[in-house]
Amino acid sequence: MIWSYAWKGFARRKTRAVLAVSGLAISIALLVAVATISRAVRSAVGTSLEAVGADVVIHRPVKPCLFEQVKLVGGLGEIDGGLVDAIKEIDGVRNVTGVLDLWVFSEGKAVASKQGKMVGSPTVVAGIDPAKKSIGPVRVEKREGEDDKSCCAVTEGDYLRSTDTFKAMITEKYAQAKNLKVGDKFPLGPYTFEVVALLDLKGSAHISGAEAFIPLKTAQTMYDQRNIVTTIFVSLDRNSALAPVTETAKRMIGPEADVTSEANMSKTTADLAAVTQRTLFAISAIVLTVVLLLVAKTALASVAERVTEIGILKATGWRDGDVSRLLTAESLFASLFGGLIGAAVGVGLAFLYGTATHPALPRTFVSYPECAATDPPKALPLDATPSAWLLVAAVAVALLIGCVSGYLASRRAAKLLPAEALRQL
Amino acid sequence: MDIRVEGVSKSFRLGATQVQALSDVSLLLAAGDFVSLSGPSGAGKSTLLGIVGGLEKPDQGKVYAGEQDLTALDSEGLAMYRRHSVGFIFQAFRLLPALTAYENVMVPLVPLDETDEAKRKQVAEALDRVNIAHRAAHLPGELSGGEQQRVAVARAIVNAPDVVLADEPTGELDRQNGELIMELLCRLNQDDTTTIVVASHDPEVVQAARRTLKMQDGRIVSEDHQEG
Repeated sequence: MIWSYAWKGFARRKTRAVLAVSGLAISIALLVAVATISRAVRSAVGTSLEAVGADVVIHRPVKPCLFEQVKLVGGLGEIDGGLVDAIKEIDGVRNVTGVLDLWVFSEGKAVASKQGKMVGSPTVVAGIDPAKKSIGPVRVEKREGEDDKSCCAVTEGDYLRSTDTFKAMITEKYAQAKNLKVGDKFPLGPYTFEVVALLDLKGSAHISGAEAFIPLKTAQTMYDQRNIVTTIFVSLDRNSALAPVTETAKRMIGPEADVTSEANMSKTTADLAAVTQRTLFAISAIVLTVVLLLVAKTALASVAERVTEIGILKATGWRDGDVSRLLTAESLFASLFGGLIGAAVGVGLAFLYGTATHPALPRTFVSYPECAATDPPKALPLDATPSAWLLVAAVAVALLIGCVSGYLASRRAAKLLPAEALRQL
Repeated sequence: MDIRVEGVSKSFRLGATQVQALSDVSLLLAAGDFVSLSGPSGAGKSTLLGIVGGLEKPDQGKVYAGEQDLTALDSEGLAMYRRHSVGFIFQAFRLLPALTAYENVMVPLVPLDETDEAKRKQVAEALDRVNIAHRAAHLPGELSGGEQQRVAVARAIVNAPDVVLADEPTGELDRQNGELIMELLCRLNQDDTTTIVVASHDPEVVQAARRTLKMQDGRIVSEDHQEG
């Protein structure tokens, strides 16, 4: 019955209730929004690696070179294909594959304008190992023991076979732009390829994304006959293998080797987001502290304001413990509502952020030139949905604040002697 | 239940001054007594009510409720004494403004381990006894002074106390409502043999009591008994 009495006391003192609830709601909303956005950005960054089934991606950044009909994707340098074999031997490496990212100009050589900008519209081509379906830019198989986070799906036709040569899997977008279907032939540089499959890239950006995927050997033949790749995807059984992989890459490529794992990719991709998150977290922490102090002060002030009421309660036989339960219950009502409303507002804020923000892959990972025939999927998927535990934790934090303020108020009320309280009548 | 006050003294600090509110007061409140405490402001009437009602302890002396020594009880024990044995009526009604008349009368019963049904029955009976049941759903701000004091009386008697202590119960009422409240207290005293102790300046209230104690400077200076 004390709870029902407390509820009446809480609900009928509207101004006090609104103040207490709104203060808590603002801080909880900020906490939920910041935590959700932070998680979403981290997850989005991680997704780009998960999509290609890799834990590590190796590049060799170079200055782009123009004037070739078949050229490496701008900014990517040659990596000796032997590195793929060397990494395969490292203990703790689960899987590894090399990809040759090319720009192929079908209508004559690429030329450069006087300003050094590329003129012409290349097809973005990736040479892939057809045997590696669970790692790389056309990952269609999930890794053992994980949810399906693969980037692609074959919507029509069949995946490349190891024996294939001048055959290609093309994106649905590219097929639409070039009016191609499975079985059609189309030119890539000086060669003619047959479309064997249409791919759905599921709308999000991924590393070594391309318009056409051809067998690696064929791509190497088109480029300059050597065993060359531009990107190496590595998946690890354990994180400890990252160091020897990095060391091997640096040794074989040189110090300019760019070894990207989720940790440093998060840093590159989410630098701005990270700053924003840190700022928002700091603000939330400050707001929460201020709210805690305010709630405690309000709780103490409420005892001071309610000396008469507490005096009457004690005069009518309420024990200190009964008064304490009443004040704590009222405080918990305020914090419960503050927590629930704050959590709901936080979910809304995170949703708005998720809708308005489109984090992109770093330029190094995007193979498409600005003048490509089709637009690349640019945005990483940002799922700004809070986890259930976060919402529970947010309400729990609010309730904890309620407990603290209820405790402080109870202590103050317990010290109040009934006769003294009634003398103030 | 008899209440014995033996050699009780009580002082307060008021700023820099020590005020002697009660000096060596002794009296016996027999079960079923109807006693008025009269005297000027500051005579110690309210302090004596507070000590008899277990709201505070004396600096010196003893107070017995039946065989129970109230001065030996801790705050929990005094709360239980007030809960089961005492009902208070205050001068300015002191109803809780956020609660309806019904809920105000329920207040003393809220922490009790009784069923809600039993509590509701007690509240309904108390409201009936003071003829205010028809205003049960109203907030104090919607009631007249007389109605508020009747609700306060219902709150004081809802736990069927042995003693009702009323501090200037008619102080803020007009004559008609004052008489009504005194009638209620008389009836309570006669029907239930509840001990009534009323502190008041009002001569009519004083006359309603069977026994009148006059206080001055913290002492009982005279005592009158009325026949009948």
